[in-house]
Amino acid sequence: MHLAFEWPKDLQPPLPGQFFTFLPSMVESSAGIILRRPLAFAGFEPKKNTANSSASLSAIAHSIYQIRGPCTKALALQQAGSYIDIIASLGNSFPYPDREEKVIIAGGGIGIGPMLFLAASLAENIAIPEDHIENILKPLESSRSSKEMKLIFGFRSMPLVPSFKEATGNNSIAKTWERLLSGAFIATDDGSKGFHGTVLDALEFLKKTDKLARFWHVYGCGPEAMIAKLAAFAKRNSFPAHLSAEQWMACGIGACQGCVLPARTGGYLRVCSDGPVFEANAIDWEACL
Amino acid sequence: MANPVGVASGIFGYGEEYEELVNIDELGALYTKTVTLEPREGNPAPRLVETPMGLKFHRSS
Repeated sequence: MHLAFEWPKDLQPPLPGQFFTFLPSMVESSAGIILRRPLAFAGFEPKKNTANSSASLSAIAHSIYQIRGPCTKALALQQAGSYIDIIASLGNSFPYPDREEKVIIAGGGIGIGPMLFLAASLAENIAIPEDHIENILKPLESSRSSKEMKLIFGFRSMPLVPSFKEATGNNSIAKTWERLLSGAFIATDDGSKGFHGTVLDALEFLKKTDKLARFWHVYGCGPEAMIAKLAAFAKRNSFPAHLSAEQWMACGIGACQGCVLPARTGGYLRVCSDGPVFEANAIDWEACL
Repeated sequence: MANPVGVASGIFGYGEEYEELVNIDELGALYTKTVTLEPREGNPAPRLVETPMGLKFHRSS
């Protein structure tokens, strides 16, 4: 599902990796839901001036989500134009790669949302026109650019591979997502689409076939098991890596200490305010499983 | 007490986390999370359980 909402003029735009929480006030009170729900940003469109100089299109923030429980189910039933109570932007963001670093962007399931945002931002940051995004996704063997970016997205099965052709709101973000998705290396656990295997299997495959040179900066978001394996993969290959974690949250701003993960150096780090993006070695991912 | 409203220990942390959202000087009282002389590691996740009657936290040990 796709959620798009108007962004206030006086608020800093969100960054890839950051998230927001929404108050699920649309859920029946009998459901016993009291906590706000976190969702990651999947894109941002700045304010645009229209041909009519007196009018302009507001900035729009985007998120994608799966219907998993009563809150996301109720959110999906909201009509266009509804009001929703949101706190944003929360958490830290993915650090941009060094100028010479090549980039692997790995996403699993609905974890592709923030990775699409990161990929689109990197494409803009390196000043490539939007309609040329596919050029930086060209096959690795033919690319010598220092600005290379490889997207690897994994899903359980083909029906879970999203299509953004019918995404609501401004269509340009959906076009960007579609373009990024069409340039991505797709893996499915059951082999029903693309590569047969997990994101990690795909990475190992690319590594074995010598399509991954050294000095890749790994970015990832997805299920815990994938993140743990991605951290181990990056460590084995001495790749720098920044991974986004997911955890049950209450406050979302660092106060309740509820969403912790075990730090490699002992103690705990809060996903909402110390993260959600962590340098791969900062967290004992294996202990999270 | 000028303001009878205080925030309970638990999800209001130590107050500073909410500085951007709330003027904590307007509160009558602020009950912090537990403070100990020596650092304690705390409990592993999951620490939260949402229930219809409120939020349950693992007690820090």
